[in-house]
Amino acid sequence: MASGSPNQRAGLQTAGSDSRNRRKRIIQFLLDNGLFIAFVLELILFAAAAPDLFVRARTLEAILRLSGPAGIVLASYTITLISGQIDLSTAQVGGMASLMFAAVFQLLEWPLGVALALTVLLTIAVGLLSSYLIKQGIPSFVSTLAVGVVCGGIGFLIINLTNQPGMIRLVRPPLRDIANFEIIGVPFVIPLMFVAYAIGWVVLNQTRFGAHIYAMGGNPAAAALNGINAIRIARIVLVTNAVITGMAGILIAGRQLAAQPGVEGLGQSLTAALFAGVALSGGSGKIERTLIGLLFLSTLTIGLGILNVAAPVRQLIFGSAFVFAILLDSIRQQLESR
Amino acid sequence: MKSKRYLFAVLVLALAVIVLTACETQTVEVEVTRVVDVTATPRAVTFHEASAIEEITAPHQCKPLATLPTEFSQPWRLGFINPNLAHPFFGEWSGAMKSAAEFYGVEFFESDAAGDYSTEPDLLETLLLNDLSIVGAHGPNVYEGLALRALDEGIQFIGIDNGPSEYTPIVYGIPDGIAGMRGAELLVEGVRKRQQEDWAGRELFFIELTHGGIPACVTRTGSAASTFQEAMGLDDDHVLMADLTTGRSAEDMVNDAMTANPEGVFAMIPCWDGLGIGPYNAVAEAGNEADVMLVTLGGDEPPAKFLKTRPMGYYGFIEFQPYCEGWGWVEVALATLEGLPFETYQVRKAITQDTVDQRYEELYGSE
Repeated sequence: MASGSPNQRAGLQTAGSDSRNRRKRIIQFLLDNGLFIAFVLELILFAAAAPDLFVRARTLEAILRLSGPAGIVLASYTITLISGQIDLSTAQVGGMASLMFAAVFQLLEWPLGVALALTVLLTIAVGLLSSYLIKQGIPSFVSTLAVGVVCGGIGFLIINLTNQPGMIRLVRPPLRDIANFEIIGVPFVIPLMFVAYAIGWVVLNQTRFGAHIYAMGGNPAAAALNGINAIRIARIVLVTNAVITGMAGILIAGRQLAAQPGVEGLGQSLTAALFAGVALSGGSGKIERTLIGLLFLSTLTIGLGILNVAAPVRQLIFGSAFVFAILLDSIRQQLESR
Repeated sequence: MKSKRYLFAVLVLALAVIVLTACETQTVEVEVTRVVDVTATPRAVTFHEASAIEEITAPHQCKPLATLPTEFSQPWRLGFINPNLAHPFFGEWSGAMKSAAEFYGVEFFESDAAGDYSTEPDLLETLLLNDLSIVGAHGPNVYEGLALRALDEGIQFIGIDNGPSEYTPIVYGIPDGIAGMRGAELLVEGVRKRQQEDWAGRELFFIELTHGGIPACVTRTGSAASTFQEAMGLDDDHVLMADLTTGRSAEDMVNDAMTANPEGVFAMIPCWDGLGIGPYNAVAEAGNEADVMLVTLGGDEPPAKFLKTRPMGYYGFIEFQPYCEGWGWVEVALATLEGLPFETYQVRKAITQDTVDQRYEELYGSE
């Protein structure tokens, strides 16, 4: 039973409401800026732990070099996520594309342009297949998971048909020179990543298509009522993502001088995007923040390596980071639904 | 507006990196000139004795692959990406490399790929931050990219058990052809004994258990197959291949071969110990242990422990002496840096059920 006068009770309720609002504002502030705070803290921590090795332009270059191919994919992956689609086929699509490219360019010795064109066509087909399955009412994460398995199979098939030992050696010029090309001492994949982000930012923030992507991801039913063609947007987004993933796969294979099924290093896209506040359910998120998310993870990789942290512990830290990113996404959604 | 501020911040960061990196490139050029001046100073040189190395590496008693000076021309810094520290064989590499680096008085930096070769390019980026003089790795599918990346940084790459590459003149590791041949010779010895006993008059098959995606395996087991085939006078129909790149398990492929030839007996050599012991145990479980004979290649603690249990058809193994292989990598790396000659690594020991107890005690002590 409540005690005190009605004015006192009203005052207490107002104070309680203020306290709740303040708490909500703090949580919202942390959710909005937590990534930047975490990134700065991470930099300070590693700089304090290993000042000689960490505080160098060379370390920064290593972080960016590590982020390059994954960053190019992440730019389009973020758009895919914002549109409400989850693509789980990136590693397999990247591997298949690199193998297709290697078979045509390295083994058949066809011109670079032809090999690229054929690979782009194959990745377009992959994107179309994923969007066709989505059109049939299958959720995107199931569709792309299944398509990823098919792509993995195609990759192995290419290896078997070309009678190669588990991979295709990729050393024919000029690809080797292109993949390792540098602009004033900086690997070209780094500026390429920034270009990909700039394009992604313009598409999302300065075009009608970008507004449609947000609308479709946020509320597909309302978007459809407003005349937005959801299937068409899903198709464009998934095809673009497959093509860009394929190109990143070729870049990684060019760096490793070997194409093989399944390209690792693209898998952290989802973690980086969730860290950066892109909702798993779509409709919200800022593309430029995902770059910070990626830099956070790359810095973690380099920093833990510098500190010589044991591999199982590194694995544990990255696993925990993924769990934390999912948790953040859940908290963010709960706050938005209140 | 907020988005524009973030984009601006990101672009500023990118520009800062480009400018800083360009500045650092110039600094490195200056340092290289200074280093050349220092090494020009003449000095008296003494060398490590081979007997001292055999003593310090006991019970492995590694034979040094190079005669190295007690004082080097520079404080060399070695780096190595270990494929999996949790694996007994690779774990021995690691222990030996650390001990050798300490013995020779150089710095050693190590990364652990934890069984995932695809992470090695990223691990190399981190390792390179230690201003290494030389770097190495074991990575069947990625080593050429690693060698090229090291070359970009102006340092040499020395892999282990990878095979040749156009980006490094040094091929170091198990001499795969010889290892396979030694394994086949040991297997021939075991099979001939059995042919005097319960295998007399039985149809003999050879199963090559390999991984077509690993060039070292193709050479190793290929050499074993041709040596065994020639020694036992087998035709091609009696030499079978179980290749993991087909996507099937070795257990299934061996089972298929035995099912297709129910009256036959089978001699097997795998590319590494586990690849043979797995199918052997599956055959034993099915009650057909008397129809197989196995010789494995590698010989670290797990196969030695298994051989001590005297399995009926496990004749023995060729011991690669991983400790000496790891120790030798350090010696080859230092000899390369000092411009000194070095020998190739040799596989010296064949262990059977008769000798395994003594060898096990030497290396691992009594259980």
